[in-house]
Amino acid sequence: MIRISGLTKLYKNKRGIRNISLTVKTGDILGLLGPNGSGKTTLMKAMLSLIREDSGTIEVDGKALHENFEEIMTKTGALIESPAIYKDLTAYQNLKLAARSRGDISDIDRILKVVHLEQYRNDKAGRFSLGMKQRLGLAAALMGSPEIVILDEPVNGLDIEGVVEIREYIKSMNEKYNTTFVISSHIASEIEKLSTQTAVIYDGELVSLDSTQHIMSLYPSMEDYFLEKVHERRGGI
Amino acid sequence: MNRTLFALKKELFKLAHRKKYIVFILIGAAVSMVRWGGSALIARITDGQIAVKTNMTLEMLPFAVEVLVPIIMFIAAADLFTHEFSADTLKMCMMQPVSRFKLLTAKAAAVVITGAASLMVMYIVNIVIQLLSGGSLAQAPVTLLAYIIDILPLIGIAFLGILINVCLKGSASAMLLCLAVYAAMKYLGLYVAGSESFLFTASAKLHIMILGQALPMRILMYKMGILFGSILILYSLSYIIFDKKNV
Repeated sequence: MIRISGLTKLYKNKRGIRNISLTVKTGDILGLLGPNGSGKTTLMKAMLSLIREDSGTIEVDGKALHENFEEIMTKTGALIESPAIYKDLTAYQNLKLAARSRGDISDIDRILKVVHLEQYRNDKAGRFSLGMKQRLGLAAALMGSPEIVILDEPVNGLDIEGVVEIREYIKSMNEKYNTTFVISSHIASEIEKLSTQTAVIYDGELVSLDSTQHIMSLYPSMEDYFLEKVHERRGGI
Repeated sequence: MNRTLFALKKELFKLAHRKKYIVFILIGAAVSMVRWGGSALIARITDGQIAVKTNMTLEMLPFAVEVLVPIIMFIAAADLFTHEFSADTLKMCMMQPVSRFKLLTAKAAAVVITGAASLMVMYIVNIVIQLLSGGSLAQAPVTLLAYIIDILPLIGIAFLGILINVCLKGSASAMLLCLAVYAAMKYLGLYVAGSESFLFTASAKLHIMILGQALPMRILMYKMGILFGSILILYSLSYIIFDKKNV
């Protein structure tokens, strides 16, 4: 279980996230929905300790993130913004560098098959298309079947077939291993199809958090829910 | 310890895939060849009246320790810090289950190992050239000891490069600043007499103090104190900045 309490991180331009509190239960798929620049990536970066928060706490299974960083990161895979790729190394070498443990290295060939990059195993990643780089980034995040996976705009740059495949793989991993996912997107339909919980973030603040099933019982689409929440928030300013 | 070694292996793997380090070793070898060629030319022109028969491997040590290897280490530091930052791969390092202290230690160790390995390769290259030019290898073991001793001050220079690289975001600007600060520290004595002896860069040719001169133990300890104190300060400052870094 991931518990975030009063998390605030403001950059020099005063953008960021303000006083965000939420809980993600084990086995949940939390969809973070928000427009560009709303603070989704900042929240995810804070959950991975890539940025230092100004205040607030993040706990995973009751353990504080910073004090138990190594233990928590051993079971966490992530893809944040554009995939971190060493252009002069092959797909296999990139995954070797991304391995969280020596055990993950033995999983590289399996995960390359999952993202359909097995035939490019020994090709330099610098020559990959945007979609292939995204697949490689996803492979790095999903390698070794981590207990928690944090994915920032995971289907960016993927073709329709790729989007469906990745979505199905995320769902099967969630069902098979009870993996907890935190997935961000600015595409409402993507969150609707994937998540069990949906959080709307707007202007650095958590506007709403509800179960996707409940939302869909009240609104015709996730898009309608999102637009209503955003308009409510704008009206409140 | 296991996690640090795992991280170190990854950092060395990254550096080993960069060909530019081989280019710098080749430049070092070329300088040695030019020096040997120059000596041979002088001997031929003067019909053997001026024959330069010296321990060339030892004579090339200051060039390696003060010029070539510092440049290689500055490049390695830029590759592992600022270049990774600008290429957006630093976040991959930081998402590993390795604390920032261990990650910094692994990266720093990789920079020092690269410098030490380059120095050892330069030793082998110079020994081979010396051998091919008909020189004696009688001094080779002592010369090897000198090369090994001079790895110590290189640790300080590596941490100078690391500190500059954790402060900046661009690898080109970091490289320039590294060279400028190193040159300023190295030649500070030209402007402020005697001042350079207060800096760790004055220990660059440590082998001379330990092997060549019978320095009083007190002075030697003072020099070593400055060197190791500087390393500790540079390491601590690097960690403080690296720990706060947002990627």
